[in-house]
Amino acid sequence: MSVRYVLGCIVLGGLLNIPVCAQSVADSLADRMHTIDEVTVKARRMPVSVSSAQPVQSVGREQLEGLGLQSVADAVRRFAGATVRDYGGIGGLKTVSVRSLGAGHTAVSYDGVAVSNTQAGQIDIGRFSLDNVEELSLAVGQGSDLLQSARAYASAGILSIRTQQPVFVDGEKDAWLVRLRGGSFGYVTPSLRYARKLGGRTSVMVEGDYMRADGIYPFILKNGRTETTERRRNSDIYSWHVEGNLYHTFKDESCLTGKGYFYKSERGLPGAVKLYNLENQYRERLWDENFFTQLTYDKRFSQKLSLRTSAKYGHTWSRYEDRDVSYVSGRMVDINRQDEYYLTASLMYQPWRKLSLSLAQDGAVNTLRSNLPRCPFPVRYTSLTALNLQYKEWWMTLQGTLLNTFVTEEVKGDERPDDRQRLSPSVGVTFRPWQGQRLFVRFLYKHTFRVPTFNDMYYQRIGNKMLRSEKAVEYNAGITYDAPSFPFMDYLTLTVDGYINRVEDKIVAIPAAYVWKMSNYGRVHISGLDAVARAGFPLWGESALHLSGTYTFQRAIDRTDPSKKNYGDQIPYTPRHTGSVGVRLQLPWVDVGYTAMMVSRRYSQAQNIAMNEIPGYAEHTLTLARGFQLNTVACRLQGELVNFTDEQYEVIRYYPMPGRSWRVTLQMEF
Amino acid sequence: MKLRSLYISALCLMAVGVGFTSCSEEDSLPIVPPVNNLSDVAYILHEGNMGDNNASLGCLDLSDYTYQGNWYLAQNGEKLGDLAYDMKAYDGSLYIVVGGSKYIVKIDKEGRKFYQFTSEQGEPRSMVIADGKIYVTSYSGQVHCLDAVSLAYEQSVQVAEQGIRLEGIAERDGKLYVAVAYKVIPATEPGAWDTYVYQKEVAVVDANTMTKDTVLTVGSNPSAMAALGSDVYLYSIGDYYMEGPVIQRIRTDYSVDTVAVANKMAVVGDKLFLVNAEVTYDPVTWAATTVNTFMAYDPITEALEGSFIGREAPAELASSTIYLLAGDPVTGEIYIGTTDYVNTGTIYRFSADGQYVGQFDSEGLNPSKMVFVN
Repeated sequence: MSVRYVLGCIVLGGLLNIPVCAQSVADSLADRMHTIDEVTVKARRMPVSVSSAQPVQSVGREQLEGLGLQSVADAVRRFAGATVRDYGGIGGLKTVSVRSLGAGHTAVSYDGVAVSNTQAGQIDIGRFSLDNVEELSLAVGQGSDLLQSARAYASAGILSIRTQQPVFVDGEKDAWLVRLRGGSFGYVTPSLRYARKLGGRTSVMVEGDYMRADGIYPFILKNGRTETTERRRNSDIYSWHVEGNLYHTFKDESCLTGKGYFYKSERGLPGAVKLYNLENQYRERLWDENFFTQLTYDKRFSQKLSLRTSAKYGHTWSRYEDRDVSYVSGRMVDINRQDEYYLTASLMYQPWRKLSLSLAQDGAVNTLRSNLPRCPFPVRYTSLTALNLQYKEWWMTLQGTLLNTFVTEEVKGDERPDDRQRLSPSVGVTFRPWQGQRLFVRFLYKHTFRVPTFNDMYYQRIGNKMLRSEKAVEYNAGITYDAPSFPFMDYLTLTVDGYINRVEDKIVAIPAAYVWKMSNYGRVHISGLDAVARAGFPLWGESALHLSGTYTFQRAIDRTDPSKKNYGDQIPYTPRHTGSVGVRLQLPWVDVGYTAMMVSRRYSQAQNIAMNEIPGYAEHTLTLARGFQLNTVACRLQGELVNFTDEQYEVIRYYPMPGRSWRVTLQMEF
Repeated sequence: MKLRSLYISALCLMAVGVGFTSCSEEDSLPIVPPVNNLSDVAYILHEGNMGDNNASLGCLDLSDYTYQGNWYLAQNGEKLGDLAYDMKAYDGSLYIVVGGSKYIVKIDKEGRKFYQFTSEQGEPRSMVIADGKIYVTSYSGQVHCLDAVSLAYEQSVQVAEQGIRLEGIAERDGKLYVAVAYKVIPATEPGAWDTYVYQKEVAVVDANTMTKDTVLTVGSNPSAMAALGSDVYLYSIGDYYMEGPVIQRIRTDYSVDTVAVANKMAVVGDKLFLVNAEVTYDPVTWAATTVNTFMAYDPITEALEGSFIGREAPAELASSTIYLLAGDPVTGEIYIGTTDYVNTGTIYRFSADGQYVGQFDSEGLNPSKMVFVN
């Protein structure tokens, strides 16, 4: 019985939103496993996804591994309401959009601090390794943590990536993890992690990985009634990733975490497949480097008052090359450098148990240096202030936020754009009709906007520094349920949310006669439904079955100009129906995982006509894993068969996705 | 036992997802015998947009004005490819330059012939066909010469240094007039800038020897070219900064005169039809307003005449982006195609004297060229 509990506990660890603090060094999975016999547990902790006013979904280590998910993007696309744009291959750009609002409205945070890209406005989630991820969560609105930074309130959705923290076996001071992974398309990734305890209060961890893939995969090219088998070429990638972490708990129980992160890659960009001209795949190449360092300090002054503060410096560099005879020296090179300086502090005050107040203040400086013609070397200063109030009764929770954004910009040699200031409110409320039941009804209203990116404003010729911000209003109503445990069922959670979003002043490039300019032009009406279900069942002996499923319905309709042919049509790359299932069977000698992802047809252009249609697809992945012990070394051998039905499909038109592939991982921890 | 059946039913539920499949657009295509019917029809070429392989060719039957938007695909079972830039009819055959897909195709009753350009030859842009030869401009600074019957490659001439992009081409009296448009000088050092240098040249090439004769100075960023009477006409885009668009006439003595300010031209009958799109920006929002002016230029009188379409023309033509302008050489009927670069185009039909007749959806993106095979 206790073994089953341990298993259940591990599984649930993935569902729980463990706060990002150094204290969780002591709260780690291994520690729980060792102390489990002394604990008597009467009730399971309620998942945040059920109690939160904001729709939150998360997936933990156990599930990421157990389902054989290939990358951060592969995991994120299974969240209800998320749409991942994937340009194919291991090195292809991958961006996430929540509830049809566009990637610019979705923030990405890495260990609690937001990742930014002021130039393009969207984050390539393909850059993050899944190997060291403890938990991924996607919140619509914002997370429910009152100590989060003001930036976390500023987006319509936030994807949080939380990395693993060191786990020490009893009495040990060192912990090693060695992993070797290989697979189809010349994919090889060795990785190494080393953690050390320095006294009782401090630990450090360094990790590094290298990835290489030649990325050559076959695909079926359809051209009218003919079909040919072609090869995706120039989609090789070489990347290096090094990360160092420091965790320290002071005598007053306040804690400090520090991180240094470095990523460097070189990759081919095969571009869209051009019919009759497959040679075109060889033209483009990209090199990039990304460095950031961040420090976070958490302090609880008393039961009533706590503080969290973070500082970050980030630098990105990229070099893009296009080789063609149409350039004087045979190639064009774009070099971009961005810097970010960021500070945030949040203070939470809880005058009495039912009421919490918090104030978060962020300041950021972003710069762009580029070799693009007439680049004005912009420097953007952003101040974000979020004031929050939370009131809790057993039968309801009310949370309100007021966010003030102020943006001012300096440009070289040109008139600077006007300052921007905006107040955006958000209100969330959750009702619990019956005290004994974990059934909740929730409502959320949120106003967000996206400040134009440097590219929107300054890109040669098409940039427009007069752009207003793109506004979005979101309404959500949902029901959540967490079933009590039964002998035949370990857990069951269900969440269903319906939503309406309005996007105004959408920033799009529109042509005026023959010249394009970025403009506040589009208007989109979005309505949809997200449903998530998870259940776990005990089987014979130590075996267990875990099921999960998500379903998304999205109706995202262009409402810009009634005289246009696409008025009332679904916006591009937005499927009406998206679904995923995950099945994990834990057996004494092997763990089996199966997951499927299903997406209905989409359109590559604004107009919903047959010419622009991209067919729907279903992709299936099968995983087998076995953990075993070699003396003191905990080993895990895992094999994955990805897209085993060899489905030929595209997410972005003429960017073919790989067909059937495999991956094998051997991991050793000691 | 009960438990196990619960699991089985749950697994069955999951399996429903496995059956999730769908059908594609090509399955719904009508199967048409591959006969390229080339008489008394007009072909409408759609440029498409970059990377989407959505260039297409529609066919308008001039006997009853029925239109088939995906004619090329239906006839040949294959798509045209990526970015179709130019189309010409010559000696009973139809020729199309597909730039992104880097080939030229000849279509006639016998079927299709292709010539695929190499990456050294560069992306083809525009063509002119004369005396059994096809002359194609390219983004490599070269003009390539092919045999019009066999599409066999013959020779090339480097009209401008590599990297200077060539656009329009016209032929008169054995001379080729080539628009030398612009070049991009890439930055070599971080912090330096790529520079767009707009050229102001039309190169004159002897078609027989494929050698460059001379260079004429014209408006900034020369683009489309057309031959009418004994002369050649050029549309230059301008540098997007100080110089605006201009239409120039190049006479046989190589003198260059500015005849109008416009950014679209087409030879219709014995006149040059012109459209000038004047774009004004709101000083606060930078929202653009476009006002089109339609004009005709008479090469004999050298006079700029008023609008070639009547007042009852649909109001949206005054502000739409005019992407196609053509005239039926037999009936004199005028065709205007518009685009918003996102939706399929609309073709407006006018009688020879400019009376509005009707309009239809072109069923393709960015209708740019129309060729009549009467």
